[in-house]
Amino acid sequence: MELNEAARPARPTPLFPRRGGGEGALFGVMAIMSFLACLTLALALGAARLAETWERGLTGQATVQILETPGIALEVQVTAALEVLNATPGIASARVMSAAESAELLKPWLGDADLSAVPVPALIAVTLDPARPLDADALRARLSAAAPGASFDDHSRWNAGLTAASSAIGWGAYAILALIALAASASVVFAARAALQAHRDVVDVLHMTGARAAFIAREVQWRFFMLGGWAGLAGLAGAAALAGAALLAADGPEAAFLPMLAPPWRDLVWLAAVPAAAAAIAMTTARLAVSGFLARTA
Amino acid sequence: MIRFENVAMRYDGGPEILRDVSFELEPGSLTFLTGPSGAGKTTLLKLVFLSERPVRGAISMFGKDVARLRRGALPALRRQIGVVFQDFRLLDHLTAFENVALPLRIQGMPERAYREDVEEILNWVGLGERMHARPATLSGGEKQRIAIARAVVARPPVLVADEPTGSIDPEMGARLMRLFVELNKLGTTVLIATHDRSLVDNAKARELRLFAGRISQAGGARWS
Repeated sequence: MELNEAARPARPTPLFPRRGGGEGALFGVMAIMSFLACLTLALALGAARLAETWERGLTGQATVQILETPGIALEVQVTAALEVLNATPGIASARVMSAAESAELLKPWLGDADLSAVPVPALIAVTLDPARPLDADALRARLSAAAPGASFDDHSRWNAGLTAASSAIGWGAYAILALIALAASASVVFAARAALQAHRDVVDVLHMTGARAAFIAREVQWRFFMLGGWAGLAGLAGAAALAGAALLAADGPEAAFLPMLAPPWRDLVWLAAVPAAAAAIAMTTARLAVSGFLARTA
Repeated sequence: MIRFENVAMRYDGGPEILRDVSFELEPGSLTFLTGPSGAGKTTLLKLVFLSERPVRGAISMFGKDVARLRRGALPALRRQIGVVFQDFRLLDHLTAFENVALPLRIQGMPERAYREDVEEILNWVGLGERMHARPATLSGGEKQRIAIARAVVARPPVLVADEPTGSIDPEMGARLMRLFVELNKLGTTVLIATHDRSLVDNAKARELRLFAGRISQAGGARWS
């Protein structure tokens, strides 16, 4: 008799039984996909941020290099160049680098060699005014008129290369994300069909009692929505754990890439979207798969 | 209410299971469908509750030609027909209460809207005490009564039962039959497929005899 007094379930039991639909395997697949999606997204966002940082550092700075020219003393050329620079709109400041500073810059290439016998060019460090655009071509023309040995380098050559590389990484990462989403959708289609096939008896009874296809699809889609959401959270947690472990372990030159692993708060919002996307993909794909299945079998 | 005209049925190119079947169920009638095993009773019932479509002939239900119905119109029609399956077809993971409530739940009703109705009908079939038990813990007779309660809870105008007394003792069979008679008195059109002669003889209702896929009518006295 003890079974007679079985209690009323707190909530209505879902119409499709939890077990027997192969949903455990789908959870695993979706969690792995979400984990990979988080890493790929972090790579895309990190590459964009790194490129932005480098570019900002480079675009704020320019260099004027002055070589010895026969007949004109280097100091005369430096003074003339400084005059031109100070009179040019778009330049915040210009400062002649000392011989010691120039030697320091050359050290990585030449080592501790004695540079007194070598004609070392004079360098002027230029800080650009971010608020006022600089006409680099006009400046070059005036510089070479005033100091024939002067050449102006605004690092645009480096900028173009970095921008191209980072945008290539970005597009590659987004393409991988699209493939992950596609593969996740395909897994959900198979799982949703398998679940309906496994619970064919339930589908039949629902049909016979007059359930509309939309009702059955709704029952299934919420199951997959929850499954996708939890799997997405599991994947995100895995990715966070990996990033955390890498941050703790990194202390060498690889630490330069830490910005990719430790995203700022702004990027965390995008990563938090991964579980939401997993849930949405699981739900919509399951609904489409179930509707298709029912249209063929009703 | 339900009319079959020269209906024939076969499964996937197999032999014809039903041939030239014609009959009509009047509103409020009680009809038995009898015949030996394999005569085609279950197939005929499947046509009645729209689980299958005939290969020939015409079926009209509630004034509508079934052949012309769109797929999307089937659920609304099926809700007009309560079905008691031979093998009950209860959902094992749901409680007795939830099984009975299924037709109302799929109509989108919230539990608070149907709880009283479902409890009342469970009491009517004598299972008010066991409403939160799952089918695995119920006897054959109890499952049969749950299946009947599910078939009638949404008050469909037509009730179809396939061998409702097949797996239970005669005393319980008589009890169930009284339930069907009571429903019929309340205006429900009832069609019962059975090979239990005593059931048919006691009820003195109209009888459709099915033999080798063909039908003959007998038992003139309409139950009243």
